[in-house]
Amino acid sequence: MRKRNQRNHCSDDVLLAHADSELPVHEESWVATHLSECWECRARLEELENTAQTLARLVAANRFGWPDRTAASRAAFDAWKRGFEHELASRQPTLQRVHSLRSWALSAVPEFARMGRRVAGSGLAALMAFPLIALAGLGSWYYAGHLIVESPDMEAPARETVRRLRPVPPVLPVVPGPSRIEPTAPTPEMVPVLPEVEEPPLPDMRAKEIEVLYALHRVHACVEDSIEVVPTPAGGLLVRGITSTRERRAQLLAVLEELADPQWLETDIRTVAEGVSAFPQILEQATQPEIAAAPFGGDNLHFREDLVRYFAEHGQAEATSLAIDFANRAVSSSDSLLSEAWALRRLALRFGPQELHQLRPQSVWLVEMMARDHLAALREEVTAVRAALEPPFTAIAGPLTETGSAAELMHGRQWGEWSLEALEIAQQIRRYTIGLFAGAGLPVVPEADRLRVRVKTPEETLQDLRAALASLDAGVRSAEEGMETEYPGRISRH
Amino acid sequence: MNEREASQLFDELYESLHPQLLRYAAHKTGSVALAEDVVQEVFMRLYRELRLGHEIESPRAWAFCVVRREIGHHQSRDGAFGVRAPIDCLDEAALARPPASGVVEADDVSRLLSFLSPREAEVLLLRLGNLKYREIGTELGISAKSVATLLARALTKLRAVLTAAHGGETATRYAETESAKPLQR
Repeated sequence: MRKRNQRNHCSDDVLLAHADSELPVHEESWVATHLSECWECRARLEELENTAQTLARLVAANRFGWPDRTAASRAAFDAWKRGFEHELASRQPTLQRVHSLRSWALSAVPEFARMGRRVAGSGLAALMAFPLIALAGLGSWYYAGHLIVESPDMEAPARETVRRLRPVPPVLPVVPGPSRIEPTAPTPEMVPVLPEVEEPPLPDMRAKEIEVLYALHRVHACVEDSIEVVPTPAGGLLVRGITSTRERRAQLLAVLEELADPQWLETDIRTVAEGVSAFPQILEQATQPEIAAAPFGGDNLHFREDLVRYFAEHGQAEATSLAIDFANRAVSSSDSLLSEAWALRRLALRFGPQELHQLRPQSVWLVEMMARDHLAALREEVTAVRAALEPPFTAIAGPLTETGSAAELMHGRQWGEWSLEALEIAQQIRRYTIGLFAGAGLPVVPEADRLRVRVKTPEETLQDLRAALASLDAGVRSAEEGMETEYPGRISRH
Repeated sequence: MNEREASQLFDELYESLHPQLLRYAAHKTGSVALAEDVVQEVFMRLYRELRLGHEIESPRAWAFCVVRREIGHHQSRDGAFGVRAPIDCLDEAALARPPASGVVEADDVSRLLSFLSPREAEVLLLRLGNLKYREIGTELGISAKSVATLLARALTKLRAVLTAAHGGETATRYAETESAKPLQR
């Protein structure tokens, strides 16, 4: 059953199945209700039906000589049928004879057994006679079967009859041509009646590309793996990249197979073990490499005691391990924030506003869905992180001072423009987090005289981190608002 | 099934099924003569099976299945299948000739089918034979949902082709002008 909160519009195949009355009952009711409310789906359904009707009319235009050809074939068939029935009737006595032989064999078994017992005076003779009788019975069965069904005589007359009765067409000079292997794109010489037709122009390939991207997006390939979709010189698409494990690769290939036609989609997905060096540019684009986070490593012990004290004060047992979990949580959250921000940025770079205008509405919608998903993931992560981190931070370092940047933010920003800022903020967050909690160095700032630099104190870094989280939060919300105004009426996924 | 029942069934079935099977086989093989032979053999086998008491749930689906298999056999046996040429290499002279009965004309359907992938064309041809999605799926080894997806994709492609071919005229208008041409067969 299709999950209703995944897409709120009917896909083409559902619409077509509805038109052909091929939907299962539970989907049918939902689709019917939706169609009564949704203009877009109704319009799309009408498009599909028009095309189907056009096709039906074109198909009906070539009748292959109906009704004469069908009548001639029917006459031939009837002639054969008469012959067949005649043969069947003439073999009937044999059939009956064989049937009686079989039934005789079956009924004779106990008879023979009794005879055998009388003759030999023991059951052993009957036992030995049994297989012989069984063999006889089987043999007759086999023979009878072959007689009726597999008789070759029944085939040959039929073919001959057909050949005799079929009107012989005049011999035409047949020009031998290339054997029909695959449908190729038609060239002008091949299509003399229709005007020159090229392959459908760019938007269609883009539409396929976006479909593929969306399919990968649904399994989080844009965030977890380094996958890219590039056009091939032949006009198709190539999905290539690196995944972490073989199982993940199998999962991705399964998703792509479901979606795509092998003709225009090629894949080249390797596991990390198989060839990292082949695609250095992907690695550059990909999320920052994992830094083995050693909680409170290095010489940054400032907050450790504070955190332990905080957890102890709040009556939590195992304050130390809680503090370590806290640090780990901060680092891993910053990682996922960064990968989502990267995915959003890649999407924005690929599909700028001009590009979006050229695409079909369906493709634009898919792009928008992907952007929404990334924004929602960012928002959830930021909210969760702030909810987890703020209480200890407030206890340690006091409440967060409003920097006033939230007030400056325009409401309803375009997600594409904001994505760059989001990426920068996410990178900053990560730097601060690993600086504070994973033993990497703290960031530096230039001094007032611009000649020297100094390392920020942990307290300053902490404040910066909190401010960055707050501004990211505000940014996500405003971008989502912007999306709402730009594409009104689309119900969001969450 | 005795003779009377079989005859009755065939009376109903033959008129509707024969043209559809013929069209399917002709598009797949490119030759009407071969298609005719194959379809005739299939009907004979169907009759024989029914008369000898084998149960066949859906004669229509069974017939399409057997036609597909037979075409497969023919195509592997007779390697030099030059009669398919008229679709692939169309020259002006061939088109100018009045349509003859033994050759599949370079008709629009064949040309349109060449825009589709083999799977999509197959599903579309089977659907034109009024098979249900489940039957088509069983035939090709895919699910009914995949059948719907392939069909939708095929229709979308054809729509693009038809509108592109007629410089923006809608596909419906194109079809109307086409069907208005007198049939010359």
